[in-house]
Amino acid sequence: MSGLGAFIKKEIKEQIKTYRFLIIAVVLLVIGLATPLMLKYLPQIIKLAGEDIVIDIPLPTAVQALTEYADTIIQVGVLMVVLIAMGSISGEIYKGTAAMVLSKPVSRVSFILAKLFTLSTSFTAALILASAACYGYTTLLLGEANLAAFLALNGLLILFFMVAISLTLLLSSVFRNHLAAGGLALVILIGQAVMLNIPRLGDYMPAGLVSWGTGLLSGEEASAWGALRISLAIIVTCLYLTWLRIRNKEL
Amino acid sequence: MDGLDIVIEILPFIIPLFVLQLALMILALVDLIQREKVKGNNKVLWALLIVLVNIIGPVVYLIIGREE
Repeated sequence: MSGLGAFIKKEIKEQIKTYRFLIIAVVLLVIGLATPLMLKYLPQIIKLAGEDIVIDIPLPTAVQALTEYADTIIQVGVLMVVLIAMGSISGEIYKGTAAMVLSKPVSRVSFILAKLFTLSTSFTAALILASAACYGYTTLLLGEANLAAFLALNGLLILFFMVAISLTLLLSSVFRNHLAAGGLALVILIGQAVMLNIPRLGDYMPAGLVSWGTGLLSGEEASAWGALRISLAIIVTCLYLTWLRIRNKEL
Repeated sequence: MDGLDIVIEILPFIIPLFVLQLALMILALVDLIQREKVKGNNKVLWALLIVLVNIIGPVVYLIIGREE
């Protein structure tokens, strides 16, 4: 795996130069700040907008705010993963950047691992910022929540993001067209979330990680070890298939 | 609680959100002005999208609107 450090450096520079990290951080941070705020004040704003309308909305709780945050962050986050990663391998191959970089004595495994590492790190750092902001606003506006459960939820969210990143990287190595790679990645990720409702099969879908995390927040004891094992297997398999795909490719 | 009370109560929480959105919009607009080529070759349309569509406009421009 020669040149992994150099590749990571190159990827980090590119993330900064293209403002990708900044975009991810700002979008996730806005969700983190807005979710508890909306939940707390929306009923009052609705009441102010129409005085004659009687809407009986129960007072939101901290658990509700953090659950809502996790659901939104996973939807928007997956969309951002797909948008950002859909052209990351094919783009470099067809623009010729990959040929230039890989002409040096560096391995193709490093090329793939550096992309996974940098994207995962960007999303993890942005998620930490957003979750800290969300937890802070939630405790200020709606009261205390279980911090340990929220941290566990965040760990599961990071793993889910890594599934989405590795899948999109694989499809980006298969399709020359960015939109085809991104579209198929979205279809697969939405499809597995829908399959979560199928008895037995649903226990093994990566989306089960998010339900597991939000369940921890509300004190449920149900776990999703099957989903966790499958998610790890998907990450490894996608990386292996990506490597197979570009191993013998003429650059 | 009347409308003004809610605004006063909510203001300190809203300011960070407003600053973030404004910073992203300014970053996208500065990039748009300095960039020679953009997707679709229509800078005015991109500028409108950035200014009028909150958060999503600047993000879409910064991710897919720029040409190297």
